[in-house]
Amino acid sequence: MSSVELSDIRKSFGTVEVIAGVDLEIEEGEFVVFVGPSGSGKSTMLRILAGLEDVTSGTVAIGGNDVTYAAPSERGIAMVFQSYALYPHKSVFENIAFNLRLNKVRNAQVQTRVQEAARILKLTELLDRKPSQLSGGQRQRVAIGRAIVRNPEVFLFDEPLSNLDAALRVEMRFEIEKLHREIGATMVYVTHDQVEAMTLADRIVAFDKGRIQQIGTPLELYRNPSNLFVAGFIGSPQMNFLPARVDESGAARVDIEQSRIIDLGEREFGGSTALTLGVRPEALRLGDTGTQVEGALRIEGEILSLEHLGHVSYAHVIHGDAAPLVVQIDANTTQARGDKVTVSAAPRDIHVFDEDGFSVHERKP
Amino acid sequence: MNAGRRHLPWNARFGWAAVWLCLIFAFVFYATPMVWLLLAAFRDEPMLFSSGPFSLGSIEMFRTTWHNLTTYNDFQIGRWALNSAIYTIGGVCLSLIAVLPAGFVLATYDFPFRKPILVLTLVAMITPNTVVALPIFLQMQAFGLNNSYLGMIIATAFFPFGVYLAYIYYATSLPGGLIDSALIDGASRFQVFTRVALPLSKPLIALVAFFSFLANWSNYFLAFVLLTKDELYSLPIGLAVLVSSSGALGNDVASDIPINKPEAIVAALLVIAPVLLLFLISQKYVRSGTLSGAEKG
Repeated sequence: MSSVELSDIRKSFGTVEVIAGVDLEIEEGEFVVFVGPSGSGKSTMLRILAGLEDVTSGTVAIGGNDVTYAAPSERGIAMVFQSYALYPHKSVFENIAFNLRLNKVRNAQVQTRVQEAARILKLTELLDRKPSQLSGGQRQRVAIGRAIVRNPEVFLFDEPLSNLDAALRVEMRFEIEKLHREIGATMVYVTHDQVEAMTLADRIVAFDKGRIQQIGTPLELYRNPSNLFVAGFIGSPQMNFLPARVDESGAARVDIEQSRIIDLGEREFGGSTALTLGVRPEALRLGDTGTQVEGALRIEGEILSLEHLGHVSYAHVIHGDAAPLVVQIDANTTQARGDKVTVSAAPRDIHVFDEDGFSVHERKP
Repeated sequence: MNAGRRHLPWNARFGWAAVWLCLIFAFVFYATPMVWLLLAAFRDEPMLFSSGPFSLGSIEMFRTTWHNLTTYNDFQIGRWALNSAIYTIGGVCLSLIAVLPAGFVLATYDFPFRKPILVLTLVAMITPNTVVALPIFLQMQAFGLNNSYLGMIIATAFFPFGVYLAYIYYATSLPGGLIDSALIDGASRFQVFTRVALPLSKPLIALVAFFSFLANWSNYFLAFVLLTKDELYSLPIGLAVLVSSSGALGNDVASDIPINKPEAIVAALLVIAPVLLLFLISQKYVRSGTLSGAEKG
């Protein structure tokens, strides 16, 4: 039995369609992350799941029950907001207890359950404080505590870490991951931060333009993006894209001065003649080393700039009028700006996308 | 400081000059009459005519004036002050009960005819009170509520400006996330208002109460239309009637009623005093900051 089931969800605001037919099944206990740029519909989808937004058509089922038109409180969900949304006039204890109070739970039980949530989230010392006396990380923990105490079937997180600084974000990410391991509830998490998506998710759902672009494990999306959007969105720095054409022999020719022919193996281009090649920065090499294979991608260029991140460096290589290629190189590189270099990649590391932006899969060796 | 200002560029000096000019203007035209009124309360009638406009009188003179005013007609003025308090406080309470939920609903929910209702509120807000006085009079007469406390309270509680204030407050100061959060926590729409929005409305309540108090306390025309029995008069009506019947402000020979110019002046202060007092009390609550900690920042 799947914990959450979305069938053909559509949502329009006036004439603007923000969700254009979404089908999704989420297993019980699964951690699913919705990623996408702003305006992709991921947050709207979560709000629909929460019952804070009506659907235009389609059905929402949670735990096997159709809850499409049920009130938020009747869906067995709890939600953590980006803005924390704590009640400023209530203490931390009462913030966490609010749902139990509304449900007229006996005071003794309220005490036990709030204390238990506070223990899990290390909030015990802070129960008497007001939200304004807490730091950002503590406020977010209270918001999570408010969700835990209800013992929900599904946890919904709407960009919960976006307002925290970088160090705290890593820490809270770890805590959310631990929380999922401990209580094992189904979690749906919305973020535009792909690091959060990659590290937290059992499965990632990539949204763009109100549609699901791809569903899969983090590594599936990274290694086999099904279209240009996912290829460009997952991975940082972004995947490099090169325009290419299919020549008569069925091999692809890179559309730059060199007009090199590269061998992409046996792929079905489906009649497309204009292709896009995608290569990740770490798959590109400076120099010909290791890619002396026949039909490898090889481009002559010049280093425009170098970014040293400490453990690794990135070279931005210009070639003709095209956008610079980002190449991951060794941190101890002796290369400098202005060096003439050859950038190369092995055929197996090249992703190919057809005219419509869909991935053209290679026969795996 | 002075040395520093001497080196200010000409446009900054012009700015300073403009600020001082505005302040002097405001003082001369707004503060001076108040100071005069305050000082005049301590002078008797002959002194009002003979001495300079800002000369000091004595406590004795004030006591005599106060005595004349309060003992006249069995402390009738006390009765009017009490009436004014009943009308005003009743009106403030009733308007708060109506205004806060109305503004909340208009600001946070989308329902049919929301926009037209908002526009109507604005129209009602800019309509002068005097225009609706006659319809209100007819309405009250139909219900038999003329010349009654209840009628006067209901009439003064009509406060569209308050609805608009509440609407603006909830639309701008209440984070949408709080409402969503409360709905998920299982609060009904009504509970969202009573348990989340209302406790965060102290500045709004202070503001609405203050303006409502001000409007009701100094409301002359509506009371003039609705009240005909002198034992039901509010302070502004009572004093107007008193002053005109005694001829206190005229230049004719004083009547035998002991209400003359000094008494009229003290009576005017009596009307102003509660408003000043309330302003001092409520401004503390009008300061923002109640919502800090709800969201980021």
